[in-house]
Amino acid sequence: MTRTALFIPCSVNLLLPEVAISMERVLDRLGVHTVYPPAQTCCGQMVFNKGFFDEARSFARHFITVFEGFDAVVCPSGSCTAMVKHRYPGLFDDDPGMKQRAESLSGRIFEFSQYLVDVLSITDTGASFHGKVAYHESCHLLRDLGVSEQPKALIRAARGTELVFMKDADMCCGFGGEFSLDYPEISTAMVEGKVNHFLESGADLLVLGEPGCLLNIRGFLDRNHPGKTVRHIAEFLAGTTDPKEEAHGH
Amino acid sequence: MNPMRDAILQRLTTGKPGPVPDLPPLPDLPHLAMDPDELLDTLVKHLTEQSAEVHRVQSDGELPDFLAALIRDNNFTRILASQDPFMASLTQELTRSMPNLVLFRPDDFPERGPYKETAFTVDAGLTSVDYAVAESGTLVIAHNRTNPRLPSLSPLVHLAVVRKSDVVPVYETVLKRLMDSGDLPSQLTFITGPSMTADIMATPFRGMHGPKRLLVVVVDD
Amino acid sequence: MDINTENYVNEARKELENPGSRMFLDFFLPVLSAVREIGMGSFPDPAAAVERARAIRKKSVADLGRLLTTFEKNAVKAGAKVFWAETAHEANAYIRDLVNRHKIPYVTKGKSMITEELGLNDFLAKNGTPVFETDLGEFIIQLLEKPPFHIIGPAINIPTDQISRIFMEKAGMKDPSSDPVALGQAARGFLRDKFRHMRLGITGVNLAVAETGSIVNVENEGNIRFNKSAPDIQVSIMSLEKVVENFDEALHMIRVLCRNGTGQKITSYVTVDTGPRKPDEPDGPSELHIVILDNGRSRIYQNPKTREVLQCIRCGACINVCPVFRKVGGYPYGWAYTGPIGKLLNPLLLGLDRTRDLYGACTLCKTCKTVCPAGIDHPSMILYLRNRNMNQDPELNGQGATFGERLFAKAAALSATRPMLWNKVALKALTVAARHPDLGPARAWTLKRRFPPVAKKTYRSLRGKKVMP
Repeated sequence: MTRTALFIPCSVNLLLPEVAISMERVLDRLGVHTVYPPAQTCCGQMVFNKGFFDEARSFARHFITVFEGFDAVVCPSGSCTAMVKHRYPGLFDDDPGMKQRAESLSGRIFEFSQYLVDVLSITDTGASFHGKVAYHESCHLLRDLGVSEQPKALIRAARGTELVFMKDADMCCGFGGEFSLDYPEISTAMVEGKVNHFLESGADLLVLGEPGCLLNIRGFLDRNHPGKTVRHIAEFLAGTTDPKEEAHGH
Repeated sequence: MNPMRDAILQRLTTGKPGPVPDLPPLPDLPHLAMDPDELLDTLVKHLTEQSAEVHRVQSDGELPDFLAALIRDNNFTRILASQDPFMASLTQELTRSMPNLVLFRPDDFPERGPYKETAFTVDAGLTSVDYAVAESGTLVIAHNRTNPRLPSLSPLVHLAVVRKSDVVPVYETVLKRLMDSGDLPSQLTFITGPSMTADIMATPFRGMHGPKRLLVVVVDD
Repeated sequence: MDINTENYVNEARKELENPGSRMFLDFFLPVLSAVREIGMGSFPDPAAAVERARAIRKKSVADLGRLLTTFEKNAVKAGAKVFWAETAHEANAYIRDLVNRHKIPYVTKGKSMITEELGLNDFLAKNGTPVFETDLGEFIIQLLEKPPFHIIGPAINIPTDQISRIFMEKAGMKDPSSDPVALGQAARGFLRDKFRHMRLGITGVNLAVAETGSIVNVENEGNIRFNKSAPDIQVSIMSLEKVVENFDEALHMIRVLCRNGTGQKITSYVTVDTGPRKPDEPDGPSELHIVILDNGRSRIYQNPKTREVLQCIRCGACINVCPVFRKVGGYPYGWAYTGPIGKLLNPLLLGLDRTRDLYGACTLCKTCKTVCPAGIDHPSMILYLRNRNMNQDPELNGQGATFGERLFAKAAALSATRPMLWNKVALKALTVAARHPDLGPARAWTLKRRFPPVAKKTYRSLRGKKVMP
């Protein structure tokens, strides 16, 4: 039996647990049994992006140890998946043993929508949403992992859903992790642009696959366009996405 | 020798050398498969797209009268022409048929100063071309004493005569022919359309420094 | 050009608040990106064209020493003089000495980022030699004493009334005008007069061809042709990485460069110079000086992690797609190079300490890498620069981490390997710190965004009871 582990990024764990619960729910519905290794902490992207490679290696060693025993690892974040898949091996250029373990894990870690479509060969998850959806192509998901058709196929397969065009859907929303805190004016200008395009698209709902982007865009929407909603694709597929129902926050 | 040169080269060659990749394949441009008629039509199409004003005549024999009419219609009274054998005989006929036309040739000037001054003050430069590249409507001149640089650069109008035998499919053909026949010229100029800019408020206009108009007479010989 | 890289954040703020800049960036950059796509689409196989270009540049950089010596040999054989300048000063001094030796009263030049890097104009001005920029955009910003807004259109955002005023003041224009064409004509007239009497013209070099010792320039206006063909002395300055093996490679790079820069198949003029004029030619320079500039590049070359930046052909594609650049424009980058390539080159040439925000203000979105026809992986190199800065790399003038940064990283790494510590202490600390109004993150975030509320229960605690090993 395939042992599939859930890798839940710290942002989801702390701020967006409903994303993880949704992901679990969808996988459950599809008959996939998952395990949540409680010893997991964080992929280390935060310290890595700042340039602390030694410290990032500590994160990586722990992560690899926690997850390498599984046949597959599924994660609701493109950037965290990309960190493990593409950055971990390079962190151990001077440590062939670790590098080999990192490379091995690279082949077995998937972002959630990628896992559903490419590994489980499923696009119809039984989801439904009656309305127009726009999709934001998060940077790491699109350009690092090459994942774009998968989430869109999942959205299109949802009953009653129309996936609409959104201008500059693949342009960065301005989160960039610490960037949003270190360069707030630029970040705010970028998310403002993204939200304008969302509003222009005529969509009822914005869907995306990256917790960071979600926090960023939602933060701007909540303050400036309170009636407008953005959801993680896991939530969209799990089914709690009718904007009229959703007034309570988490 | 220059110690700076040595220091620089030393740093460039003692580092760990990188792998030198093979060049991946590239599909040929479609022009390489075109016959001369197609190439000519493609050339004309691109010349027009690139804002050249294109005129066509059937043969070399029609050129003198056609050019004379063109010169008259446009009121060019002073022209600086190249003087390669083809253009030399063509301009001889022109001056015969248009006695009021002031036509200069590079050899008229023993000194560079007066030549340059003339180049700066004529209405038009009249030149042949060495090649005309179909892929982008590009005229190529390999500059030398008889086909120098300024006639196609300085006046507001560049009037170029292109014959079917000048037409080649792609830029590489030009370089190959030039290199096969000997050394490269001091300057080889690729001309595609008139001089252009959009540097002020993104508003495009022609004739910034080079010619404002590129007139091309194509001979279908 | 003054170095203003340390003012990135302030300049960025100014640009974000400038409606004129915002409007231009919103309009102009997507247009450039779109025409780039259309231009590349004219290749039978655009992806193959990009792969070929990337391989050519990788090949060129891998073999740089040999290509340069071959280039030099052939250039000299064709009659050019080749001068290797290790530093900016050496390059500037060589040109100054040439000017003085020949008693040149003034100099004209074409648009060249490398001359910005050298600060050549100021250097020659100090020598008493005026330098006239002849590219229209560069001419305008020279008169206005402003830095370039964008590499393709350095003055594209400048309102016509400003241009009109300065042209009347300094370019001999008689009557005011708000018509770009009339303004252009005024500039043409003024600069044509300079071309008439000039004796020394300066250009950059887009590509150098080793096989024949030729230099290649691309342009739309014709001013580079004048700088090459009107004077008796031509000086062309190339950064040492611009060389390719032969014309097959050069011509493909020209096709790619033009499509990426302005969406054109080819610019109005491309000139290939091989040596100075032959003795019987009535025009062209009798002396061609090619200056090969190092200025830190051979040091960049020695580090295999940074060498790749030398593959750049200065096409501008990365600049036009960068989502940060699209908001702040060129001014904040504060030196010769802007946008994603500027985030790499300025720090490598000036030092990591002076350019922290250049490689700091990046979301690592990878759009630059995706479009780069020269095969540069900007995001990976940015991460490398950040690491070198944190580690106080002496070669690159790394500043080192602040105490707070270092503390945070170490505390994070310590708790990352200890799940109990992570969940009981680290996350809680983060929660408290994040919500504290004065500790920074909340304030920065909340300019126009609602700060994300912390969930009542973490996912881990919700799921915790159902864990199976």
